[in-house]
Amino acid sequence: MFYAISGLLLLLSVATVYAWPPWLHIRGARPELALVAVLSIGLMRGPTAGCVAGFFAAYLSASIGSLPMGGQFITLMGIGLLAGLLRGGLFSTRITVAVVASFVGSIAAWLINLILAPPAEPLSWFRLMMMTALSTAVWSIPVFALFRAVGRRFATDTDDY
Amino acid sequence: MLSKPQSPQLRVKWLAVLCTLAVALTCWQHRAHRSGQQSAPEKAAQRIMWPLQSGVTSALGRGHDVFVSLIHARSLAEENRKLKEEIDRLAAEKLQLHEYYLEYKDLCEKLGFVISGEAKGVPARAISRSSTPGGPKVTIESLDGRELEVGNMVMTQKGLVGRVVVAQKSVGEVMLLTHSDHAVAGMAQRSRDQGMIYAASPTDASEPLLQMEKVRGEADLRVGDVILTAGLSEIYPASVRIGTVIRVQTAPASSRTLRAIIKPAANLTSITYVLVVRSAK
Repeated sequence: MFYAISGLLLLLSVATVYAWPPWLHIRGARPELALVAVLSIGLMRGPTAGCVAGFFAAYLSASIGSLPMGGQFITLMGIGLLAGLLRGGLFSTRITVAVVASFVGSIAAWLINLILAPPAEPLSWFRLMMMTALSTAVWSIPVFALFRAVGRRFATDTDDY
Repeated sequence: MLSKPQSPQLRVKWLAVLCTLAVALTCWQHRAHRSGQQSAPEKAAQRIMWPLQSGVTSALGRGHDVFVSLIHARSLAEENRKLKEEIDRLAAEKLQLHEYYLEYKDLCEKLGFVISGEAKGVPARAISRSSTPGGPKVTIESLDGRELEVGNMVMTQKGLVGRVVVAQKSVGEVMLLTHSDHAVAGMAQRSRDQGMIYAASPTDASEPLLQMEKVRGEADLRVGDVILTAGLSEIYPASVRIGTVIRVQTAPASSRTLRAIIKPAANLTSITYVLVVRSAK
């Protein structure tokens, strides 16, 4: 059940990223909710689940965002895997960990994209990266809380902590 | 299955399968993009996601309306009262205009003119925005369910927005004027000087700009000139407003040509509703 609901939330997150309304943009930046969803699944259920979530999030977001799939796969699967490896230690179900991981993960994603597609204007790119990371970290609070609530609600049938 | 404690070998197998799939999908996409197409998995994902995005956009729009209503409840009540008065006034005006129309129709019939009435545009709303390496793209959905076609011109009341580059039934992806792959022939409304309009190089400016290139050196372009489409292609008809000249400079490549920096007439950073117009061909 956790995976069914998580899958739906993941779909919703990817859809919301690209439908994010302009009035919610913070200086032109929108949160990377798909990344937060992948990270949350990784933190709640381990590296394999995180990696699978990362795979689907990358496939869907690259398809609807007309982005190169390679970069998306590397970023999101890598983040899902690393978040999953954090599970069980370092208070991984604490929201603070999710906030910090989202901030770092968002910056890492931008840095990977920097290698694959260098920006024309480094200064505005850096500014947008920081605003996106900040915005992602803020929005990770409700998103991770939602995933954690779902994880706890369905802990009995899928628990492996 | 994924939640059970896994042996490292099983985990590695999972990872290997996922990585193989990822590489296959990436190669498929790369191959399709080289021929200017979209791969089948991309199309499948879009078919799943676009209805969902449509729902999310509606929900967020309603959420915004509720939020704004809560904040401005008192001023909205006042505005509501004024709007009701406006509706009464417009209803009277509409009646008057209807009478004029009947008179006009009568005159046309007497003079032997044919009245062609049907509007050409399809109203649509933006359901998602994405930033591609070349620039922004917007996904739109027609409001009345009419099918969109590749090459359809997209505009707002203020001016040109771009053109549809991918279409699946009532949903289409729009390449904006500010996309690096986009080009349109334009001309100045006042002097009729022509040039090609591309996206301007990214700057720190808060809004994206355009640049008109290949303008002959003796052209009479001035700040404030309105730029319209020249109608040289089959996609864009003539005389659609593109924007306003905000700066004129000598082109860096050749001192015998000018470059005009143009502010787009349509607000390309926050597109909500647009009009899709069939190709001029």
